[in-house]
Amino acid sequence: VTLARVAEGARRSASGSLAAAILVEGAAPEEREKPSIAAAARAVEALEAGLRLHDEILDLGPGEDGGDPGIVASGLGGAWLLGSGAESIAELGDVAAAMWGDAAHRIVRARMIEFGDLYDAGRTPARYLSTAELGSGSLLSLAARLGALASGADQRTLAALDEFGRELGVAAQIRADLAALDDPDRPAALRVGAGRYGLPVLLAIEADPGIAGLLGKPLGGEGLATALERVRSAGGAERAGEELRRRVSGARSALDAVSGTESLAEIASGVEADLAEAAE
Amino acid sequence: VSERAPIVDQAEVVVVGGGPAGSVAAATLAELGRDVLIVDQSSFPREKPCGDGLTHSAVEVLEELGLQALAEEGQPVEDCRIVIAHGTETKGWYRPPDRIPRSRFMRTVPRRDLDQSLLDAALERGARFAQARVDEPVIEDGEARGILLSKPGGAERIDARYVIAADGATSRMRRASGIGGETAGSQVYAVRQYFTTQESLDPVFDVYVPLLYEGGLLAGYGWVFPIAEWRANVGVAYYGPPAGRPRARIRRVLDAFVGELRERQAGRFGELSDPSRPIGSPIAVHFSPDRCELGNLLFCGEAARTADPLTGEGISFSMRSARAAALAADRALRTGARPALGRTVGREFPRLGQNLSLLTRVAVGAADGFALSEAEHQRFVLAVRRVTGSAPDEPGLEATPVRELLADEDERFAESLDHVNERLLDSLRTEFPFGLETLHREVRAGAGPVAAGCALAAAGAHGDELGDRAVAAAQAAELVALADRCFPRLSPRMGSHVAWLNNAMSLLLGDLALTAALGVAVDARARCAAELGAAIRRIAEGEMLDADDLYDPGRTIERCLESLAARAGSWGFLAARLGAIASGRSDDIDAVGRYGRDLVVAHQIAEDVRDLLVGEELTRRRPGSDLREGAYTLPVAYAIEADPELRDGLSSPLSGADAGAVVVRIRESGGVEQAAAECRRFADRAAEAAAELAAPRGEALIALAGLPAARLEQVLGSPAEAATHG
Repeated sequence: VTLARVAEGARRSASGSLAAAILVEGAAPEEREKPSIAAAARAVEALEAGLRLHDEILDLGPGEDGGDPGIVASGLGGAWLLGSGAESIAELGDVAAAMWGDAAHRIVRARMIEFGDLYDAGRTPARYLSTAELGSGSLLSLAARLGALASGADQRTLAALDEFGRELGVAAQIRADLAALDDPDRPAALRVGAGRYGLPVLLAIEADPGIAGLLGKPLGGEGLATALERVRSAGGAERAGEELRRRVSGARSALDAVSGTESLAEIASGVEADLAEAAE
Repeated sequence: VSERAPIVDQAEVVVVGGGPAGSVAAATLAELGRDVLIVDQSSFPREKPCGDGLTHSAVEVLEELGLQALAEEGQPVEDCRIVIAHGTETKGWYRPPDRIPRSRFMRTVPRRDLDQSLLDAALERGARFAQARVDEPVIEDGEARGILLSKPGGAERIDARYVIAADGATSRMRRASGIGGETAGSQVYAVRQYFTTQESLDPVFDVYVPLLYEGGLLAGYGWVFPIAEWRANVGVAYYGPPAGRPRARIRRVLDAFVGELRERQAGRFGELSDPSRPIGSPIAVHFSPDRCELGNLLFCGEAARTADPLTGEGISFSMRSARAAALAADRALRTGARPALGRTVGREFPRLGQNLSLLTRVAVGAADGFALSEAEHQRFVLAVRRVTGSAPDEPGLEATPVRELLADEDERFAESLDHVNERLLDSLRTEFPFGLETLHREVRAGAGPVAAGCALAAAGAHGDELGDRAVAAAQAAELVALADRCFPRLSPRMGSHVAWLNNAMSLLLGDLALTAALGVAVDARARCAAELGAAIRRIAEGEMLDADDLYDPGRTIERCLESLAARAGSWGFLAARLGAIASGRSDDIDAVGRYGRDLVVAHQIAEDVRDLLVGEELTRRRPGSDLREGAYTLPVAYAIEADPELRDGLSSPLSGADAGAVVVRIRESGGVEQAAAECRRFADRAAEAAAELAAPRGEALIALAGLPAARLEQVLGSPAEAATHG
């Protein structure tokens, strides 16, 4: 069950493969096929997949009282993956293991904050952005730095890649939340129904406070479609898109100080292009 | 302005605010012989918005101040009743710890009287009082030099070596000092009004949820507290939106609540008459340990935002933080050392600073629709009680068997365990609701921090000092053991808010503990991360075995032992090896690992027997909890082997009475004794391994190997007695 869910999740989620891609592209070209890079990529994938399995359980929310044995399998499978990731990262030594452990802890803290904010229509955009930086930002920052670390990068490069990862992580999170507005039946939209209010929703509330009155409780079907329509009408998507572009631009700027990072800049542009494509 | 302002007075310590926090700080300092001046803009006595409730913790502080008479004159409160939607009622919510005598149970004392008495007590001890409006602290070269008063003729200045800000939820000192900490998150508001009731009041405080307003629900509660036999303090507290957003008009919320009481609780209170003027204020929650002090400017009480984020209760926290501030100031004046107030207060009140609004929202959600079934309601009540029931007043490890045992061997182990405990508290402290509280209760439950003890004993056996690496190894090991207690609580059911909350907590707290362990492990040595990862995988595999076997009466003894080896064995193995690696030991590290594995398997069997027979008070597990949850442990497997008919009825959940009958049959079949014998076999093997490893300083390893048998003996008697009594 765990394997099936990991595979299914990997197909649906962009962030896992994005982290692995950043990790590999962050390494020097001659290093990319070395076992240490593969071990680091495994560790990042395991971290992302393990925590995503847990996230999916949280996203289910209180529903029909049936029972799903897959919940327990996913929960324990997620823990298993975290252990597996720790084993992989240990192959890279002290500094990499410390980076990985620290990022993992940050991501969990971000998820806790998000959980505490469920159904809180008063959540501010600033709080969303700081939490996204702590969560997705930490994952992509870890990926970027691990790749470079394996190539013997200096502190200045690592600091630039940290900023790159954090900015791009926020952008990727916004992109995932914008997907809620594409189709009310998509998982991202259902997450809004389950109380997870992303940046498009929060910015729409700023423009049209009446939207908050529609939220704050479990929504599905027509109620959810109505709320999402109001979010669209209030310009939530456009304003979130602007923030996404600012973050992508910030990520690209962070790379200015580092040479040989053209492929990372392309990955960042890809997040923006994906948004434009969806808009069309 | 401060340079031009005339200096009109000076004191060693100036306390801004004459409420409970200010008066307690001043009284404490005056008693220590300090020259202390309280400054408050009010003349006393004065009214103050509050529920007037003094918890047993607050009564305890009053006793320490010699003011027990004040508490005794208050109205006694013996219970808390929760009323849901003016329909279902449950009592029994006020459950002080067993150590609290009845004389220290909760009381209500109107704040007008309480604050006056506390101020009088401070003045009697030698503190001075000045009535004036304080504008801001005088800060020069980063140090507080005193305070600036606002006077009609211009600013005046009072000089001081230390300044304690106790000026309440809307603290001017806090704003003026720029210490920050105000949050964009939800804000709490409260308002109260006194009424005379037609019916006499029970010694019970009533809490009403949900809180209705204009046809919707607010996240909060209404209360009715008896302050005399015929006089009640009636009020509401609720979470509003973040500052700057439109919120409900607080007076109208109270009016709506009083209207509901008149309409739907007329039988309990009769007519509510003679209302006082309603008064309200924000409640300062969102405590942060790193925002309690700015050099020699210390914050306490609600100026340090110490109110309980769930209940809004603030007096005991205010008084305790004030004592901590006063003692810190006195120590600093004596020794010149900088106070570490935030850390002290943070350690004393670990649950502060956590945003508990989630729980309120869950409460609202559960009560939504006013259609809770009786069973669902009970489950909800149990879940909330589990979360809120026993906040760790003393989050140390002093009373845990592991610490006592190791302290008997060598005091340095006890010191290191305390250090591990501090680090555990730090690594688990997040913004999130009750995470730390729940997890730390697990650390203290049962025998206490066995994994940490095992790691320290293994590190100490090498003969080196127990340094930071050993402490980090012990912390990481204990965090992994904690995660092993979280994940198995996952349930396949997600149908209710309670089940969903249970699963969410299991995952989030498990992940928090695991990732904290990973972060810490590399502080010990890099190799620890690999050891830790492998152990986590094996533990997860063991948990999967157990999940597969839930409610399976065909579970064999071999399967139980397999699971014990995978779960308990793995974290025992890990703990001992981490300790050894941290101390630089490399020669017999596999033997150390085997010691840890056997020790912790023995420990787990002993705890499984105890769960069956006596349960665990701290984590509120009743006897037979594993059995009722379908987790058939070793004594059950042995019993089924001896008495196969026991299988009947074990393939689905048992009622409480049925579980009791099954426990009796398990005992009669000899299952408990056989499991106990198995436990002793593992413990003996650990003791043998310890004897071989002991040189040069491994006595702690040997002592720890005796722990499982001692835990068993507490519930079964000695092996000889057990044999005699069957």
